[in-house]
Parts: sequence; structure tokens; C-alpha cells
Amino acid sequence: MWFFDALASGFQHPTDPGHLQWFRIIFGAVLTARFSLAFGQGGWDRLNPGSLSAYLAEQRLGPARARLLITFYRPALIARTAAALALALGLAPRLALLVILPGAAMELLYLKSPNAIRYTLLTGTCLLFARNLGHSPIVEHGLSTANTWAQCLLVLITTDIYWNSAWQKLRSAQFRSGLYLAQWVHTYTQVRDQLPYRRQFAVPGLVRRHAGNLTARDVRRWRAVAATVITAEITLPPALLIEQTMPYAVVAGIAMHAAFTCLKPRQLITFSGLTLGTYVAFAA
Amino acid sequence: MHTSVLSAVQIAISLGLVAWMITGFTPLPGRWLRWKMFCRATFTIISLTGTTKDGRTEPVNVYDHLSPGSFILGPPQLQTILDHLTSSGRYDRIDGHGRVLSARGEQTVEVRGSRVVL
Repeated sequence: MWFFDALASGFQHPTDPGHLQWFRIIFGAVLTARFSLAFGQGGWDRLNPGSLSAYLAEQRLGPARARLLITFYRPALIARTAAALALALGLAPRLALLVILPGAAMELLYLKSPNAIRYTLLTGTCLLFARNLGHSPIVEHGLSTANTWAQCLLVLITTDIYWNSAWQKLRSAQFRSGLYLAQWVHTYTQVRDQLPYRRQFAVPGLVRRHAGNLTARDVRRWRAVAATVITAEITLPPALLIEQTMPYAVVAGIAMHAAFTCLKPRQLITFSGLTLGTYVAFAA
Repeated sequence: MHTSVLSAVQIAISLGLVAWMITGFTPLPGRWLRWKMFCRATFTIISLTGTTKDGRTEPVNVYDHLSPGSFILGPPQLQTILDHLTSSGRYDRIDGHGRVLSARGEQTVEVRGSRVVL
């Protein structure tokens, strides 16, 4: 298997640099979408004086650093979006990454659950370690050692996100029992009319009506879903690496991320897009 | 020689990354590489009424103040939002009642004079 050959050779095993270039295009496209959406839904006015975000930033960072964030916030929104588009197109990709990564890291200062940003920074750093990112939207194929190490790191990071996420879910009685998913859907059905941006969610009416009432039967149903998710997260990384099982793993992975994304489409664009994007790094 | 030095650096960084990843499976402190997504949370379903300075009352939609796409809300976050709404002078006081859902199941919650009471 190429991954173990690459490890055994100290990353001197030649691979197709095109895989990483495909990931560069997907990474650029996903972040262009994320960064463009960040202008809407109150994003542009996020740190306006008197807003809850400005209040929280000042509590968290102190007045001087909050002031700095507020000053650079809007220019950073613009610069990072342009850079993400440039990266997708292959224009000065390394320079673009050096704008994108701090631009994404800025969200760590005000986002409540920045896991998508952490994943962006980790996979973006892998791209920075690639020695052949390509210089145009056209992907070059061949064999070289230029991107072998970066490709191995991407495989490691995605394997870790799946296995660690499965581990955290296994350790949570709330998730394992099905209670978490049942409570999530139940709360959603109760408060959905009060949510400010309702198109953030795409939970099918059928799910709300038949699994959103927090009854013992609903919780049992969600327990089966929880077990399926944990099993899929454990199985996917090895199945992606083995050539014979890869096509099935890709289909299963897309189906799983499509289901997650259905729950919170907008929030999961980055996470689902990037995770599925790293699948190209698993291919030989 | 150059290739072997590069290779050694790559191996060292990779081993460091793997070691860091392993800490994510232990109780060691840290936030990175601990992918706690969609696995535990506290939810609050609550209806609130705000009283303004001149004595008028109106419903307060607390979900308006959460980041778009999220409705996970625990009592401490609820208290932060209530503090913000009263300290900004928008309301004199806020009251209401509802339910909290968490790993421990369901419990009732009340807001009395802008304070969350479980």
C-alpha cells in the first residue's frame, strides 16, 4: 500500500503530485464558499459597537486587543476571500495560503466552536508543506516525491479526525444512548420558528414528526443512528486506503457527510467539503 | 545528504504530530485534535418576557442572539445573553420559564428578575 511504502521510505516513495493539487483546488473552493458566506447573516456587522459579539470580544481579549480585532476584521474578510479564490485557481498558491491561514485563524477569536477552523488550519498547513502545488487550474499528473509527505500528513489528519471523533462519541453516554441526537432534533422542532436564519437547517419534516418527540421509541431510533455513525467513523480511514474497498468507502463517506450536512448545511460546508476533499489524498 | 536531512526533518515532524494526536485520546488538557463534535451538549427551550424601563412588556427571543446555525444553549450562556440585554439598557428585567435538556435528562428552568434559576 502506497501509504506504508511512503512511511517506510522516509517519504521518498514517489506519488502522483496531482492528488495534492486536486486537494488545493477543493480547499480553495470550499474556503471561497465559507469566506463569501461569512459576509452575510450579520457577518459584516458582527463586531459593530454595542453588539453581543463586540461585548464578548472585549470580555475575552481585553479592550486593546478587541479594538485591534474590530479594526482589522472587515479588511481581513475581503483579503482572505480573494486569496481563497486565487488558491483555487492556482495563482500564487503559497502566497494565497499565507493570507488564507491567518484569515481563517481570526475566527478562533470569536467563534464558539471552532473545530472547522482548526481542521482548516491543519489541512492548510499540509498544503504549505507540499512542494508542487501547481500553478494553474490544470492538474499535472506524473510521479515524484514532491508531495508525498504532505499527502501522508493529510491522510494522518483525516484518520485522526474520524477516529478521535468516534472515540469522543463512544465516551459520551449522551451520544451513545441516542439521547443527544433525540434532544437535538426535539429542540430544533420546538424552537425552529424562533431561529433567525431558518435556512441554516434542512431537517426533513418526516424526521421532525417521527423522531422529534423525545419519546423512548425516538431515543431508541437515534441510538441505532448513533451506532452507525460511530462504526462508519472507525471503518472509513482504512477502507479509504485499501484500493479494493476505496470506491465503497467514498460512497459511504459522501452519504454520511450528506446526512450531517442536512442537519446544518451552512455550518458544515467547510467541514464536510474539506473532509471529503482529503479523500483524494488516500488514493494511490 | 540533502535528501536525507529533509527526510529526517519530515519524519521528526510526523512523529511529533502522531504523538500530539495520541494525547487527544487521553484526559490530558488541550483543545486541538480533540474532535468533540456533535457528542454532548445542553439545550434550553425557553420563552422569555422583557420589561422595559417604562414598564411595557414584550417577548424576548433569546435564539436571536446565538450565532447563526446554532441553537445549543446552556444556562451559563443564557445568563450571559440576559446580562447583555439588561446591561445595554434594552430591558429593565427579563422573566420566563422553560426546560433544559442535557446528559442528565430533562429539568425545568426559570428566569426570575433576569437571573437563571435551575
